[in-house]
Amino acid sequence: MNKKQTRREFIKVTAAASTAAGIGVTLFPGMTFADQKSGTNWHKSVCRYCGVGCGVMIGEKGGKIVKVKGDAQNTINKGHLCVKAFYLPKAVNAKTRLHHPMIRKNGKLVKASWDEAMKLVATKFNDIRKNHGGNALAFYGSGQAETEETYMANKLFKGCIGTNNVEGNPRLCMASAVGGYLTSLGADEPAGTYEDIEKTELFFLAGSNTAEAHPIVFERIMRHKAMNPNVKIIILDPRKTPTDQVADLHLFPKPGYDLAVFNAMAHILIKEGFADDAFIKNHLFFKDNKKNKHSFEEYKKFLEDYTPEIAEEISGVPAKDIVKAARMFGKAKTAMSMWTMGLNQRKRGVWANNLVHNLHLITGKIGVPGSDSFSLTGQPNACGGVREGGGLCHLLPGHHLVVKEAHREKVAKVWGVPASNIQPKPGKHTIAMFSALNAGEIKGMYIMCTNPAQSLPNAKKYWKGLKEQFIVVAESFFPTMTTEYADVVLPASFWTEKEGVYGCTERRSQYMPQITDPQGEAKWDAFILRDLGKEMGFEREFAKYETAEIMWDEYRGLTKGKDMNLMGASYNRLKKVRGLVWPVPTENHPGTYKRFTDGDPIYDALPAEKKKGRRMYFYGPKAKDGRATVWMRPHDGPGEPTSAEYPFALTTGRILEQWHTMTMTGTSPQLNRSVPHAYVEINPADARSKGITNKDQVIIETRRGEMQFEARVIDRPIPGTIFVPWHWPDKPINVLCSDIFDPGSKEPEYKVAAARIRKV
Amino acid sequence: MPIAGVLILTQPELSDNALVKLNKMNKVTTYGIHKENYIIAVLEGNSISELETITNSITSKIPGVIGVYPSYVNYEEIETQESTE
Repeated sequence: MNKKQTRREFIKVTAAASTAAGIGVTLFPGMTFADQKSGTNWHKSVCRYCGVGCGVMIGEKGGKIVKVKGDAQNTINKGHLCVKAFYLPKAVNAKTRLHHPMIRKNGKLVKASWDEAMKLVATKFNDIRKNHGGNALAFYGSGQAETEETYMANKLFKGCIGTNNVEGNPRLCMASAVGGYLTSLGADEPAGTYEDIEKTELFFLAGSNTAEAHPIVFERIMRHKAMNPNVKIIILDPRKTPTDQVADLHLFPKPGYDLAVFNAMAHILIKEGFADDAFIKNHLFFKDNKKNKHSFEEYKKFLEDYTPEIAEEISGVPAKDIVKAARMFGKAKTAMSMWTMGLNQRKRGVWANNLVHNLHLITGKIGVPGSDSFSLTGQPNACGGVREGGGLCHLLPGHHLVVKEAHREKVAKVWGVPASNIQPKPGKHTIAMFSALNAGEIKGMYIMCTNPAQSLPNAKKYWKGLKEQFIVVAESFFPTMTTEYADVVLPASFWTEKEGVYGCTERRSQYMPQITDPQGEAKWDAFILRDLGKEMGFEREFAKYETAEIMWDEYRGLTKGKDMNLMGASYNRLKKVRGLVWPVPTENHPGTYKRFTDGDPIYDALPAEKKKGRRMYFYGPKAKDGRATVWMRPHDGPGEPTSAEYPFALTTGRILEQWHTMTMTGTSPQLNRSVPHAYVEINPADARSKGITNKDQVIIETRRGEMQFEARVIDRPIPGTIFVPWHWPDKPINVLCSDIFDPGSKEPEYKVAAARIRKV
Repeated sequence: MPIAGVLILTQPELSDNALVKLNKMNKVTTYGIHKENYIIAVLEGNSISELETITNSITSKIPGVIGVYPSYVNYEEIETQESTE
């Protein structure tokens, strides 16, 4: 065996041994591996992609990232990763990384110095503010930004410039989940954690292709089911996905017509004796859409309109399957519902969320090990940075609200700005913000770590404003569809080049270290914002933020006494542990597995009389008398139903191999990728009726335009539904999607648009 | 040439058959079935894209495979490093 083979064999053996260790298996006892003497420095961090929050160990050697492995000590992924891990270092070193600032001159973006770029942005923003007021400026951020980065943006725009026009892309994916949790449980984010996965008997996966969108969660589900054959899985989705391979029952509603199914399940659960009367009596209110209170008997009467047969007529799901699903849910001792965009990105996304919560509340399947209604998050820090960090137009950091005077005063004091700087009314939500940009009402926008020119629904409509107004884009990659419209592009440090905190789906905050130097002239987004603040004249307000830890400490100070108390999550502690699940009020508190019940420090500290007869007390800001709310939400279909003119329901989603707008996963040579281009899935029956065969070129048309795709004739979408993954910038399907939004959450209905399809 | 250690989660009753099929694949080395339904394997590709292609082949073509989960990925330019060691 020559030296080359030996070295390669060593690495193979190391890879096998390390992988085995992740499941507690020792493959080569007593053997010393190349890895242990290779000079690699290992750093504990968090995956950059989705909201699962997987722990990764990053191997750095000579200032370069050369290895990645799953963090076996991380409780979320226990050493396992998904295939996107292959691309983590690739993204860091991608040829598309932006290394210097750029300014548009004579219609072209050209290289500029930091000094020139920052002076231009500050001057332009100050001019707009002086001539048109603070509300003529806006910030649009990201669930991928670190909490510290969003914190700096919030202070600059809400606290200094004086506008609440601060939004982030989680408005497009998680806002309905927020609305659901607030209205049903009284507080945002789940009561349980991933720990419930291994304790449940039944999974109800609704509008979630868990296998592809959240592979590590799916692996945990599958592992649990394999070890416990009594564990059952119900899927509710208009499309057959890879998640189906393990389903015990699949309900296929027409896109946008599932509310009746949830109500019919509740109807059966009560009718067949699966309701938890004691829990209902002591823990719940029943309310209608006008927030009028009702009795349990009135709720039952409301549900009489949702027999399985009626629900079948509305949704297309066979009544017998609805009954079966309800019985499976009712008979299981524990149940865990999970959902993502299939419920959230809907005109009635909040209602859909409410109705899933209802199933858990009326059966008491919440607040006990193995039972929870658990929203899965799409981005790595949508929960931590934007929902908790207050990166939306109505929020302030730490679950504070702009409409509350006491909250404005508290935050302003910490920020060192007059409370009057923070406006008492919410700013514009995302769709309203980009509409105002189109109208010229907003004249300057700072976009950080996101690609709205591709990701907005009905995207083309909003290119006008991006083109006409003054747009600053802070981004690690270039070009993106959004930088095409930028007047200034600022190079941002990427993952591993900066430290900070990500907060994932299960209320867990995790620290990420800086491992390598930023590439080129790239700077950390939080420092860019800090320096922009200084350049705009807020020197005093931003003088103290010399480190990420200073920002984090100020932020976590604002969480003291709140439901999301992070006072125990100092950098010093987070550097040692695999994250902490809030509430974590002190440095010696272990974090909270279940909220609103025993073991939750807030619940435990409640007076005895409040807890009397109750195993849960919903103490969140929107709950009254410690009770959760069961909502009587009637059937409502999609905002754009199919018609004779547009007979197909177009729905969109993710695939395993790509992520979002491909700024990270698209850094690999396209021709070599296993899924190199966009496509449309069409059911074989529909394909026959349209004369379409596999790999034909077809045109999809909606009221907003048309686009050409390759057809995949496959038994995945139900008849009448077509599916397109949304990742590819050369085929931005969001251009065809509807921008109708949920009136409560303001989240757009990406998941249903009326369409037609024809062969080219 | 990247090398990845992966866990291949299988349906327990199909694990043995999956292992047989994996052993016939190029650029895949297996290290047995563990914990009932995990197959440990090492994938070797000329590029990261090839690792992804191999992964997709395993998932789509071998019955009983539920998912492929990388645990360790080495991106070192192995040949370059060898010449300096």
